[in-house]
Amino acid sequence: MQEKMFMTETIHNIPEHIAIIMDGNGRWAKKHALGRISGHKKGAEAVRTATRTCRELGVKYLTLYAFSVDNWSRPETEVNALMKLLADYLASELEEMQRTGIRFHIIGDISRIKPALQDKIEEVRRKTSDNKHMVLTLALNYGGRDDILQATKQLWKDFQAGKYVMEDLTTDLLGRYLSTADMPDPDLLIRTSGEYRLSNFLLWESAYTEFYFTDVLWPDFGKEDLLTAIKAFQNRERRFGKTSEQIKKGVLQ
Amino acid sequence: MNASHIHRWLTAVIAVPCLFLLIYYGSAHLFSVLIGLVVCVAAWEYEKIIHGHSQLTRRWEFLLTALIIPIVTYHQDFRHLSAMIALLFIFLILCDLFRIRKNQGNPDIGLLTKYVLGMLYIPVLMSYFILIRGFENGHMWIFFILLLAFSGDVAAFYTGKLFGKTKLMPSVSPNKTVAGVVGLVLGSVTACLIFGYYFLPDISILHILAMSFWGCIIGQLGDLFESEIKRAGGIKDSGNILPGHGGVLDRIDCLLFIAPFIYYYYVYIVG
Repeated sequence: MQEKMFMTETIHNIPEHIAIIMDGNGRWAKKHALGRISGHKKGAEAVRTATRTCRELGVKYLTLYAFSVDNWSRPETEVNALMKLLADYLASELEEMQRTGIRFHIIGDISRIKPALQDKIEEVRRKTSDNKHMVLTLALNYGGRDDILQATKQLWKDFQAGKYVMEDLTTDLLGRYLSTADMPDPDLLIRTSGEYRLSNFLLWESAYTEFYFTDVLWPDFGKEDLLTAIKAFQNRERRFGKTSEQIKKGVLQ
Repeated sequence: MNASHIHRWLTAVIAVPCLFLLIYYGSAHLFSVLIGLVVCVAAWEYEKIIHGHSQLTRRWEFLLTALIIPIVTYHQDFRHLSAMIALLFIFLILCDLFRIRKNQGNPDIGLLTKYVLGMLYIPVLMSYFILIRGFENGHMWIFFILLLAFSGDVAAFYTGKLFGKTKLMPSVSPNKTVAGVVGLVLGSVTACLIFGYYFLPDISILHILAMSFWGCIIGQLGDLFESEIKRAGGIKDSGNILPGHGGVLDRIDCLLFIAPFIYYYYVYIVG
């Protein structure tokens, strides 16, 4: 009953794009006296819950930071285990993505990932490409700076080719070369596990994003925690650099 | 070389490759089944040591409790395991009370204690192998522990034969010599360092050194404890299922103590 009230009260101002830095799998494992891989497995379950909840609430874009460019420095066995977990996840979730209309998308450089897994990712991306209800993006081997650099290089190439004059170069234009070009900037960014850093995630895109930090470890991050985060988001005033007065007068429109 | 010694090697030559194939190529499920089997046989042997001609019902009750623990461990959740230990503890006590009520047994808290000890000793400690198998690279860690225990045994056997004079703890284990133990530590640390270098490349050599050194000492304590159980029961070998090696319990005695040590070392110090 309580949850229902909560939902009707909040349904109007659901963030369109939620980004999550999923942190704390290793700490969760240690807390439960288990090996790290058990933490990652539990973390994969939390991904399922978060995806389902967002889909039910009508969130349009969910972007998950799964593996950063810096995670390659982890022990090889752990990286392999994570990749295997991703393969299992894709295999088991494809059916649900199709049924609930979720489009699967990847950002980041996946060229270092094993070809078999790359093929699998491509297959899921292709099969779900017509789904309309929500876009689930996995940031895999992603780095915000790397993405900006990559975009700049592409833009430079087009500039050299004479596609633009100096006056065309705007933030808007550069944004179109980022790997996140076809999605809106995140409205809400959640980081679990009590860390207060962006860790090279969506640097450009999070310019006006609301941040929400929680001490909950990612494997424990359930539906309730996500609703709490959204509630906190709804209680904030988003000004996009304007004053409160301007917002009230509807300057943004 | 006497016949029993040849049997010892023959058994090893047959058992080691089988074990290797099962662990390396078998799934985590299959490995858990293997651990379940080992627990059952070892629990059976233990029960025979402490009770001699046991009542059949008592034996089955004990084997049931022994088998349930590895099954619960498979889900890798310590809350389930501790819940199950509490319930099985009560179950063993209730069985005992009912037996007394039906006049099939005498009030004997000593015997009951031995069953509870057996439940904590064999299935609980052995279940750590199932948890270790769940690590990334889990099967390599299983091999690491087996190598740690058995390379030490082989080294101890021959150094003890060649140089052994001073007995270590004659009242419990008449054949152990100080030289044998030194050989055991040297042999198994060397074997583990070589294995770690090639098959556990992510793990620092200092961790391997610490794990193998302390691992053999803890394993020897496990060996001595099993000898104590046997002395108390008045027998030499726990069984004869493995020709030349005695029973299963004789083989896993040190493993039972090493497995939890390696598990927690990995989770809290390496991980």
